[in-house]
Amino acid sequence: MTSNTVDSASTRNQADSHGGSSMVSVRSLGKNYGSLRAVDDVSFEVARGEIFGFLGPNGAGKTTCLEMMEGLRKPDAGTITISGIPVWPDPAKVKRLIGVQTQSTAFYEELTVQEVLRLFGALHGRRLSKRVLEDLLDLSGLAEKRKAYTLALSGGQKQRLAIAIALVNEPELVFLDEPTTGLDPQARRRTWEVVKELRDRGKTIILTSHYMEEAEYLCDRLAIIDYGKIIAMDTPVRLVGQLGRKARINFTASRPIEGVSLGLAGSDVGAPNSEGEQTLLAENLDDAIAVLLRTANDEDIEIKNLQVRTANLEDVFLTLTGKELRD
Amino acid sequence: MAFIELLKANTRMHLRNRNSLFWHFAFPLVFMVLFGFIIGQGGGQGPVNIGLSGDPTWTQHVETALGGIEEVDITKGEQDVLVNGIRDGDQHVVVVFDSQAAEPGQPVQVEIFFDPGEEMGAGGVARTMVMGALDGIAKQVQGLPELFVIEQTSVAVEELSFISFLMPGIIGMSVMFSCLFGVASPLVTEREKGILRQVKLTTVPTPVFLAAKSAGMTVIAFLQAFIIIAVGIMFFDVEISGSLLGASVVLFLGSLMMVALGMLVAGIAGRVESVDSIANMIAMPMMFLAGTFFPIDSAPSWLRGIAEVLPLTHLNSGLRDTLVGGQTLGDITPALIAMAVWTAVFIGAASVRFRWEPQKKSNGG
Repeated sequence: MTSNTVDSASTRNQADSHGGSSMVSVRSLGKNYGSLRAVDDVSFEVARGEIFGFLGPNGAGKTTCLEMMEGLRKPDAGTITISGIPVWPDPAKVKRLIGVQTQSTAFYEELTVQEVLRLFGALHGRRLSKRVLEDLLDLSGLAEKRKAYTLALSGGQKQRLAIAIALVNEPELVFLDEPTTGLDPQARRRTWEVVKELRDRGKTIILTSHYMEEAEYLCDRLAIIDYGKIIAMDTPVRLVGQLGRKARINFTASRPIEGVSLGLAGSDVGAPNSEGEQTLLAENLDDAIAVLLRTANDEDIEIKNLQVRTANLEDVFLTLTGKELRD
Repeated sequence: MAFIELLKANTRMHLRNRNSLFWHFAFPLVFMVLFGFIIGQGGGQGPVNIGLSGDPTWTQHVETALGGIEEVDITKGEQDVLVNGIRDGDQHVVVVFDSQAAEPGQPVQVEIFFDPGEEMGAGGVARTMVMGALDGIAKQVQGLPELFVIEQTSVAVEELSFISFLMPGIIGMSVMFSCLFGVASPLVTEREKGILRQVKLTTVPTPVFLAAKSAGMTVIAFLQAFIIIAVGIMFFDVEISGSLLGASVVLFLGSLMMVALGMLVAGIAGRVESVDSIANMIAMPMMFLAGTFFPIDSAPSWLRGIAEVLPLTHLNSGLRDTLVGGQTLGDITPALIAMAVWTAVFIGAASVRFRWEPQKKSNGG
C-alpha cells in the first residue's frame, strides 16, 4: 500500500486505496490441490465495518479462500493479514479477532442451545455473562429455544445458532460461509436480518454465497470468483451498472432464431432450452426488442411468452463467464 | 475453565443419551445378573455333602440318622482328605469323632469343620443337619443331652466365590467398552460433522479438549464401578476386602488407558462406519482373554502369554486384587506399571494419528 491518508468519507467502499483502515488484506493468495489451482492469485482488501461477499458457483474456490483466512488451511502462496496481523504461519494469533460460521451446522446433539453457547464461550476462555448470553439469543432469534436440544432445531435455527457461536468471543471480523444454503425464503430473510444487525453493530463481515439476491441485498462489495480467480470486484450496483442498458429477454419462438440473423452487435441468443425457451442477452434493450420483432415478422416466426428483465448480478456472471451462476 | 465446561458437557451428553446409558450401566448389570444366577447360584441347589471321620460307631450313628435324606451325600474317610475337600468344594461340612473310645458316661469329643463363606448356602444347611443329628443321637443312645463336646473349626477357603471373581471383571469390561466406544465413536462423528473444526477455531488447546473428554469417561467409569459394586453387595453377597483407594487408582488409570486406546481407534478409523468394527475387533477378544468371566488357566501357554500382557488383563486383575483379593495399592504395582506403559503407548500413537478434519477433503465452494 502506498497511501495511508484516511479519507473518512470513502473508507467504506474504497478499501483498496486505504490500507491503513483495512480489516483484511489479502495478497496474491494461491492454493493448489494436486494439479488443480483451487485459488489462483487472489488479492483484495476489506475495510472495517464492510460486508464483503464472495459470489461464485460451487467449487469456484470460495470456501478454500475463507478457510485460508480463518487459519484452517495453509496457503501455498500469498499473504493474509487481519487487522495488521499475519494469519500464517501462526493462525492462533488471529483467533481472538475472528468468529467463524462454518458450512456444517452440526452441534453436540444432547446439549441445549444455551449450553452450546456457554460451552463455546468457555472454549474461547470466556465465561458468558447473562447479558452476553441474552444478547446472543435475542440477536439470533433463539431466545425461546434456549432450552431446546440442538437436535430439535430447524435448518434456519441451526444456521442462526452457528452465527451466534461465531459471535461468542465478540470478534471484530465474522466469516459466514454460505449462511443461507438450503434454507426456505422465509428463513433466509430472517438470517439476512441477523447479518444486517451485525453490520449495524460495526462488525466486519466476509461471506460467501451462490445466491445472487443474497449478495445483492447484503454486500457492500463483491468479488465474483470462478475457477479460483477473482474476475470482477465492485459494489453490486456498479457491477450491474457496467452492463449498461443490458437486459435479458426470454421468449419462445415457433422456429429457433439464430443469433447471427439478428445482426445486433454484442448481443447473443442462446439455443432453445428443453422447453423451447430462448434467452437473448441484449446490449441495448430498445434496439434488441425492435430487431427481434422485425426479424420474427420478416421470417414469419411467431414469438410467444415474451419476457423482459433488466440486468442483475446473474447476468454479470453470465457475461463474464459465459455460464449461469447456478447450474 | 474450558476444561470444567467441557467435562460438564461431556458427562451431560453421556447421561442424556439413552443409548449410551444402556451400554454404560444396564449392559454390565445384565451380564452380572445372568452369569451370577446361571453359574454362581447353581451350586447352592445341589446335594449337601457331609464328610464323616473317626470313631466308626458314632459315624455309623450319624450316617443312619442322615443317610436316608435324599439331598444328603455322605462320604467316610480320612480326616485330612475330607477337610481338604472343603477347600476344594467337595465337602460342605466334615464331622470328626475322637477315635479314642470314651469311658461310658463320659462325653465324646467331636470336631466339626466348616466353611464360613458357605453359611448362607449348602454349608449352613449341612451344619444345621449335623447338629440336629448329634442332638438326636445323644438323646436316643444315652439319654444324655451333653454326650458330645462339640468344637467347631472354620476352614478358611482361599478361592473366591464365582460372583466375587466375576464382579471386578464386569467392572473392568464395562470400563473398557464405555471408554473405548464412548470416546472413539463421538470423536469420529464430531470430526465428520465438522464439530471438531468448530472447536479448532476456538482458542482451547488440543490437550485440554482431549483431557476433558477423558475426564468425562473417568466420571462414567466411577459411576459404573459404584453401581456394579452396590448391586454385588446387595444382591450377590459379595464381600469387599482390599483397598478402595487402590481400586480407585486402578479405575482412574484404567479409564485413562482405555480412553487413549479409543482415541487411537478414532485416529485409525477413517469413517464413522468403520469405528465400531475396529473397536469391537479389539474389545471382544480382549474381553474373553483377559479373564473377565473365568480364569484362563486351562488355555494353551502361548495364549496365556498373550493374555498376560493385554491392557484389560491388568485392569481386571488390579480391580480383583483390590476389591475382593485383600490387596493394597502397593501390592498391585506391577499392574499399575503395565497400565501406565500401555497408556503412554496409546497416547503416543493416538497423537500421531489425531486429525481435526475428515478424511475426505472438502475443496468445494
